[in-house]
Amino acid sequence: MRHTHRQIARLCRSLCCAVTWLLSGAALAQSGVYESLELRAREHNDLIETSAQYQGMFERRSLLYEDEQLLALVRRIGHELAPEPTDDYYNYEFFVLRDPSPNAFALPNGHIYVHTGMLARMVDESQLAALLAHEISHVAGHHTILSHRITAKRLTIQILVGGLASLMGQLRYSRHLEQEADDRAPLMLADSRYDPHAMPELLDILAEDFEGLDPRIATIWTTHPDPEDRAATSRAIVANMPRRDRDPEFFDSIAYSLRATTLRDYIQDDYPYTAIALAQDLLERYPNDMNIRMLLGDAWRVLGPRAEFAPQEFTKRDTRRNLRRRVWRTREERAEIQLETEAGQQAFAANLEQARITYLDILDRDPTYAAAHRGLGQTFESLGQPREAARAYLEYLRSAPDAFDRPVIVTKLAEIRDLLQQQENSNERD
Amino acid sequence: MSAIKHVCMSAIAFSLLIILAPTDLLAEVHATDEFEAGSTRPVSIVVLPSQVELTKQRMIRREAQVEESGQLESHLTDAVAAEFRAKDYDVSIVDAEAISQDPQLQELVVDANRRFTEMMTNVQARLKKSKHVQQRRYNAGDTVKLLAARLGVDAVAFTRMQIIAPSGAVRALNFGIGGETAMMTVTVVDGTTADIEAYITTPTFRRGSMFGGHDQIMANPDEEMAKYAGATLDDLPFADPSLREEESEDDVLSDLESLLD
Repeated sequence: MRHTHRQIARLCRSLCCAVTWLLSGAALAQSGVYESLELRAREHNDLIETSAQYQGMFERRSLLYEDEQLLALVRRIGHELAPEPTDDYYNYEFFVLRDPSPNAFALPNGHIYVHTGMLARMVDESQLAALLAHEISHVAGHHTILSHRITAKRLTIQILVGGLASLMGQLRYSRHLEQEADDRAPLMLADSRYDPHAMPELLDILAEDFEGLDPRIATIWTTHPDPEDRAATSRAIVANMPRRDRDPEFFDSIAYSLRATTLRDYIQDDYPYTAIALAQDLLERYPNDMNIRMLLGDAWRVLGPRAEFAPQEFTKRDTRRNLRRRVWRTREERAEIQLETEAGQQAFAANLEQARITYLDILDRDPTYAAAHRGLGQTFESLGQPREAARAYLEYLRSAPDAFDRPVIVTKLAEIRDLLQQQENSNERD
Repeated sequence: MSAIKHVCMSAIAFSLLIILAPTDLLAEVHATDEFEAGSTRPVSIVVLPSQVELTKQRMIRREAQVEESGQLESHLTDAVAAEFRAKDYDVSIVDAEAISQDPQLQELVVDANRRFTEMMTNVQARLKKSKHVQQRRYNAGDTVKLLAARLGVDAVAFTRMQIIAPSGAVRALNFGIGGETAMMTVTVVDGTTADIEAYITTPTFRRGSMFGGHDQIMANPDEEMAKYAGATLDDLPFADPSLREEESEDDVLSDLESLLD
């Protein structure tokens, strides 16, 4: 029954897209062929020049990821796939942005930005090629310009006659363009040396939800189709396409530094489930990598009172609630609430024990690895064991006397000293 | 008739809002008691590059003015630094060029900005900002502590500004009345605890009235930004090193060693 409803919903969605396409008057190119699109008055200024200015903004905010090898790889694959521009107002250029969210986007001037969070989750060049092919399809199909035009048209209609239907049409149109880019990317890959079967894999990556915070809930307001639907559609498209050889090791060697940076970002941004999943995956391939092992320990520690869960157990209502909680409550408040439950206390003890074991394991393998002492100190501090925490921090300062975070550790030690003095005073009174 | 009734009702509603609104909503400096008293007020502070969002309100939509926002950012950072200096703070600025030449600093600044943005989501979600700042509800985490340690300062200042400038057509439609809004916040985060010590906003009644419009801002960006920074940081207390207690590292370590023995 539910299945039938989904089919009806999909059929309705397709019909709506078709109607929107016809109403929009947009001349989308036929599969495999991209047509020229003449800019209208002010569009050069509003779209092309503004797009170029974003580059300056990313530079000012230090958001461009500058690893030369990785950039060279992204640019090489991008230029291999990109067709000849049909208009002189755009040129393909490829950049990597320091952002842990799994995303990428294309601007109408041909600039394509890939987030570090997307690259960190990929396994090989073919998946990167699939992502770039998708974004190139947006540029070559002039999707932003067409979307800009339909937005202007729809907003004018809304102002003049009002109506939700107009806005709905605009959002449907956005989903339609997204689907078009999904459909074209495998064709582009099939014409190249990359594996088109990487396209549905890429959409599977987008559908991964380690944190139970899936923001891609399909509603009438969403601008992208549901990632699982996209993956299924893409799988059907590539089913009869030939498979090609793939080389994950080469990609691994280039993406290693980015992966470590992104893991740190996930820990810092409080996405520990994602960090643990990625770190464990990396450790299977690089078991002797102390840096990744250290990040795994940090991720267990940051996980705190959160219990393990299977993402499929969460309903859409749960994920929406989880997202709302991140807005309304600070990290500390969320942890406190979880610690009030028995399950939270058990998870807290188990996760910090995992962290402790991981740090001790590092010191077992490499006794000179100073950061593991710091990790142990933080773990003991969280567990309410100030003496053990102080000893671990002092060991860290002895092992890494010139560490730039020395003042931060000394502050922690001062807090522990005050706590120990209070404990001694109260013991004396008793 | 209905239009007059609508205007009257709006005026009454607005007046009631002003009368009944908690002072908290209208306050400009939301600070902890310790900051007010001076014990956590910094002596040295780093002003990170400010972030400005200038948006032009056209008839049917808003357009981000990316390049112009960038021009305003450097003027605003300088203006905020000047206001802190005028109140005797020992101010340093890290500009984009210095950040880009130092990978470790770049990582710390990018991380701190991202963590700050997350924290501000929590701050913006609540109305009673003074109460929550006083209760030390907001903490920017270890990243800000590391940044302050790396730069050797007591606190880090984050500056954000949003300006909405209506186009000529929109102003004409509004009969030339108002339309501009500009909201600026300066957040002082303690380098030792990473707590928000002060969250300072532009006075409520000056957010729309200070600017003459988009052209005026862009014709004289340094003066306009200085004007706005001045209005926002007017009530910032002076730095006072005598009120701030510092402890040497040796004292901490020797105390602790004796406690552990």
